[in-house]
Amino acid sequence: MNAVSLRRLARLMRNDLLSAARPALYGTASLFGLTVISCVLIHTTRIPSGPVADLVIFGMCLIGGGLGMASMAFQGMRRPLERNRYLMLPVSNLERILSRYLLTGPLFVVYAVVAFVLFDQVAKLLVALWLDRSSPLFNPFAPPMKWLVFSYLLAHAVTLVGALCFRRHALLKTILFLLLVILVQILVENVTGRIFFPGDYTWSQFGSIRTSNVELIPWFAASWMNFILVAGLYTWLLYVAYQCLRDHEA
Amino acid sequence: MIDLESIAFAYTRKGSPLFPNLSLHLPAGTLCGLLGANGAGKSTLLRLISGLSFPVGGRCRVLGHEPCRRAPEFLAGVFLLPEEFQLPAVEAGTYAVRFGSLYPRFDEALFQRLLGELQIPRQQKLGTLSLGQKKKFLLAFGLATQARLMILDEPTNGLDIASKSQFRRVLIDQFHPERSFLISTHQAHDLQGLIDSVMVLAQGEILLHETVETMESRLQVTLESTEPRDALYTEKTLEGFKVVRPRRGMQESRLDLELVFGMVTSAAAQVRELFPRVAA
Repeated sequence: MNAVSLRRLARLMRNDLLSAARPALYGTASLFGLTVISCVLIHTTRIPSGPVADLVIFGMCLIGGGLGMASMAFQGMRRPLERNRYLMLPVSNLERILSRYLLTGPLFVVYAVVAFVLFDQVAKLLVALWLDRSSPLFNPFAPPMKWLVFSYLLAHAVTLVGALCFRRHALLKTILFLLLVILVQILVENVTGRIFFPGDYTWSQFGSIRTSNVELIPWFAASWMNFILVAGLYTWLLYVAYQCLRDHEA
Repeated sequence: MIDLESIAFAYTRKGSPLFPNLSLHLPAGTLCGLLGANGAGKSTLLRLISGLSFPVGGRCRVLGHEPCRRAPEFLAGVFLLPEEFQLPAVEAGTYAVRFGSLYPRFDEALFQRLLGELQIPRQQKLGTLSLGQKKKFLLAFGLATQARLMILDEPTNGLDIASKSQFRRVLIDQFHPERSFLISTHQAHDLQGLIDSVMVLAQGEILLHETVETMESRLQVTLESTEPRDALYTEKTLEGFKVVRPRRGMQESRLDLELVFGMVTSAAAQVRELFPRVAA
């Protein structure tokens, strides 16, 4: 048997989906409620309505809901009474992680977009009926959506690693870990800057006092390099998640 | 079917290993009882065989696979009934549709028949079943997967008297030369008359691994009024002393698994002389 069999993967995904059906249903109901409430609030207050407001609401639902689900994707493996049964299912590790990655990542994005488009239409119809006000419908193909989805998928990969590495409060610990990484990165940047470009820094100020003209990584400006870097980081994160799953089995 | 060669396993890197050098060979078509005291490592051994724990040394082959690689083909051939487990809140039929489809040789008709034989309520949610019913359900499911190696960890815990009888009957019915059962238990009496070989695990090694037939040919159990000094093992009862001795003459006696366990743990050296296969 191969490490990945499409038939087996589809069956595993169906099982995983059915196991998560109840929280997904509650999440969808919350999304509907949130969309209606936001729509009413936007039209009854001075908050500007329009595509930006729609994107903000959608982004909150996508990132909040999706990352929440991703952080709990491997909860069953943490429970000793469920763990053995789950790990003894005749599927490969790659299929285990692929199933939960696809369900909480790309497929969740599609699901969230479709649900939000529907709920947005219903909410705006209700607002038009009750308040006699109208606003443009949510456009899932608006240019900022691409960046929102990319950001989500990257954050999702990190959360998936966190879900496998941290036993409890995975999302909180992942966020704290990311904050720590950012803090360390800022510190390293400052220390390195002070060593190599002492003229750009003073001891009375934390950051650089002027924009450096030196391009540390000149090729970095190229967009295709950016893409390769992000894709590489993404693949590496998923590989780390796969290794974590294997290590956690022992 | 199971080949463990000089397996080493420890839960912590610094602590003393649970199994410093454990070897074991279990052929196909065996109904083997695994006996051992609390903490002897029975469940750990079962986890090593089923690929849920990874050995730190030695060679481990089960059904021709390395369990630690956890290949789907291997996992489809092994079914583990854990001592404690949780089942989802679905009905038996739904469970079979969801999880049975992952096993390439899952037999739905057999599953339905076993549910009937073991008297599992089909319409009740699995989460609301008693521990005994859950065990019987998972046993029925495991047998229906047609797994070649069935690993049962304390399967009779939580079973009532009638259920124990059903359990034994179903196991014997589903036993065939291509399939092996490895049953770990504290309740040695529950396996009496069911198993064809016994394995006793103590001090991180297999002290005894022998067929019941061979043991019966080399040991004899008698009931005596006084405690003899030359016995391998004695146990005081209301009627007198149950005595285990090396067999002399042609007199046959039925082996009592609890006495065997007591004998192995209290007279390990003499047992090795009588049954040199493991020592060799």
